Amino acid sequence: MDSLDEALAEIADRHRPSAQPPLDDLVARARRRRGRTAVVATLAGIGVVTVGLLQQLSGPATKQDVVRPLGPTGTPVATATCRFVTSNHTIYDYVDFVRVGGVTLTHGVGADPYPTLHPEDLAGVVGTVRCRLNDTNGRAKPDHLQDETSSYLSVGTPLYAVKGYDPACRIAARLDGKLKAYLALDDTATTATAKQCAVGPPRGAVVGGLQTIGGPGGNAGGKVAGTVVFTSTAGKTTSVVVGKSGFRVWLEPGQYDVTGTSAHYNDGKGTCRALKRVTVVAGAQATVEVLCLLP
Amino acid sequence: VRETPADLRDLYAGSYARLVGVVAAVSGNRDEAEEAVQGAFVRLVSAWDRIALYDDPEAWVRRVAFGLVSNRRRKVRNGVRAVLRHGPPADIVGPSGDRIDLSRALASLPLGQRQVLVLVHVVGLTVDSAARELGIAPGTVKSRLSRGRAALQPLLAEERNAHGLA
Repeated sequence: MDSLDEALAEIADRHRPSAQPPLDDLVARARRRRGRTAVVATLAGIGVVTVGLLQQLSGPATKQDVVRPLGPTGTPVATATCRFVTSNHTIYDYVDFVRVGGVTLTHGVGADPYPTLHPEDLAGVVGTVRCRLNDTNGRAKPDHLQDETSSYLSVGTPLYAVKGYDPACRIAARLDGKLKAYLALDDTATTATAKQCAVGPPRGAVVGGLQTIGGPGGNAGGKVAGTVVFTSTAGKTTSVVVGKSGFRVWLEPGQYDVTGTSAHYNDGKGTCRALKRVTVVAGAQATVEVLCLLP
Repeated sequence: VRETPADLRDLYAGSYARLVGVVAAVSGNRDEAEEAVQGAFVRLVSAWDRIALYDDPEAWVRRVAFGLVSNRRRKVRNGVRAVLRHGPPADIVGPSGDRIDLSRALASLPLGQRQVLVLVHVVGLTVDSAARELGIAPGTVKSRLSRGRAALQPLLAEERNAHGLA
């Protein structure tokens, strides 16, 4: 096998770099990585990823180490009714997170001071934890997580909406008897920062739709898709893309004029309007229909 | 800010080039190998207090780098990131005609076979040590070695014959 040794060693030698970056550069990257892990994790739908290895579980890598038998890489491991894809080569050190409504929300990062919650802050239940990653001893990959999956919340834990906050921004759950806030992080931030809608003052919800009324015989009306624009008394506008099923938007308390446009109404050139201003109250829900009047 | 430990600096200075060579032999791409080895050292910096106690911290770095290469294979975008970080592929000393064939043959093998071939034939690990490092059974190492050698030996035989005829 000498020739194979030589041949492979020559290939390895050929790839050896003649220079290497200063270690201080990597130390700086390590510091940045520590500050960025929560954001990266959230983008991936999980917590901090530590590419660790078997030694991390089994202690110092001595030659007497006993390798723990593990399933092959990629083997699905069932925990309760949940199926996760696991890795032999990666240990995941999850942050405290839960995924619900297609959104990943984390606890403990992204806000300072961190919001505290009381039982009177809770609104309705928006989900129930069905799967817990930590049951896989950190081996579950964070890919393709289904809704109502959490890292540490026990299976069966109710997930609550919080009064005044879009559940896509802030929810609550109890862990070890304590009420904890879970916040959506800002994917565009370079550090772990909660979305403004998660940490700002409470807002109010507005639900409604865009619809045509009138027309020949009064039969041309119906829900249509388009865009609805809320204009506050201070002139600040918030646009919402609306489907036929209507919209739900969270706005700062105040009064708003509501207008809209639709490709189904005067080729998008006509303006649809609500019959009256809508008043948004924190923690409450208002309803508004935006009407496109057909002659 | 804590000063970087001297033993970590020594490990980095003494092993970086060797690790890049080994990982590049597995991945077939020096840029990707450098990215993986640097990524492994970045993780080592954070975990140095613990890894420093290991018998062979370099083995830890190598294993993490192998893991990163495996992960990156599933993420093409990371290849783009490596190019952005390191620029276009560097000029690598060109292999001889014989070695081109061997490099290609090596690159055509499954990643697992390349890993065991390099760990055993370049790093010099035993089958059991390679199995520990890769987290697989010794029998798996043996079978991968056997298949890998079987794929490369014909080329080596040709090379020897060619030299014999010369």
